[in-house]
Amino acid sequence: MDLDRALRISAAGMQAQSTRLRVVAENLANRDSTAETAGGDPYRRKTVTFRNRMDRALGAPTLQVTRVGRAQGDFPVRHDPSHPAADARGYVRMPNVDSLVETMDMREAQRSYTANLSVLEVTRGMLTRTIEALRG
Amino acid sequence: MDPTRTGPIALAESRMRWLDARQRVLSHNVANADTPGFRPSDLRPFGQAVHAAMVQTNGRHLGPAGGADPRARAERRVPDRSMDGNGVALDREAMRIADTETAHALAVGLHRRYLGLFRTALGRNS
Repeated sequence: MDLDRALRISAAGMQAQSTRLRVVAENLANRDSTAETAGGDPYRRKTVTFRNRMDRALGAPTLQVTRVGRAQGDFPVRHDPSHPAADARGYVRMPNVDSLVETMDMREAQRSYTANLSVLEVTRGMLTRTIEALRG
Repeated sequence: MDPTRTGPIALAESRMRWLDARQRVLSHNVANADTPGFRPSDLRPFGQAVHAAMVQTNGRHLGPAGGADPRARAERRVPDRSMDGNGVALDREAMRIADTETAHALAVGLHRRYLGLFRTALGRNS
C-alpha cells in the first residue's frame, strides 16, 4: 500500500537526519579533544553521506546514511607549551571542528527532521481516514 | 450493475489510489531535501491518469486522448536549485501535501456518502 510506503520513507528520512544530528553532537562535544601524546593528531571532524538505497522489502528507495567519514583539512594550532599534546615547538594541534559549521548543519538537520515528521503526520491522518471509511 | 465498478464509487477509489501514490512520491521528495543533486518528482495530473484508464466500450466511441503514464516523473523545470544541485523546495512540497490531504478527505467523504446511499436503499441505515 502506498500510504504505508510513504510512512516508511518519511521514517527513514527522520532516521537519517537523526544520525546526522548525532554526528553533529559528537563533533561539538569533541571540539577540544586534543591528542594525549606529544605531537599527535587531535579529533577529526566526522561527516555523513546520504544516499538513496532501494529497500527491497518496501519496494521503494529510501534515504540512508551510507558512510560516516572523516573530514580532511588542516588542524588549527594553538601555542600552549605546557599541554601534554604540545610538539617540540610548543604548538598543540586542535580538532578541525568549526562550531559555526556544526550549528548550521544542526539547524538544517532539524529542519529536515521536522519536515519529515510533518509529512508522516499527514500520511498517518490519511491512513486513519481510509481505515475509518472501512467502518462505514 | 456492480456499483463498485462504475460511477462515483469507482472514481473515488481510483482518486484515493492516485492520492496514496502521490503522497508516497511527495514524502520521497521531502526525505531527500538534503540529498545533493536530487530532483523532485510528481505524478501526472489525475485527469490525465483517469483518461488513460478509461475503457472503450464501443469501437465507434472516441478513445482517450494520449496515453498517460500514472507513474512518477522527474520535474523538468525546477525553479530554484541550491548549490548542491538539489531542487526540493520544502514550502512547495508542503503545499502539495496539503492539497493531497484535502483531496483525500474529499475522496474518502464521497466514497462514504455513496456507500451510505446504497445502505439506505437496502434499508440498513439505522
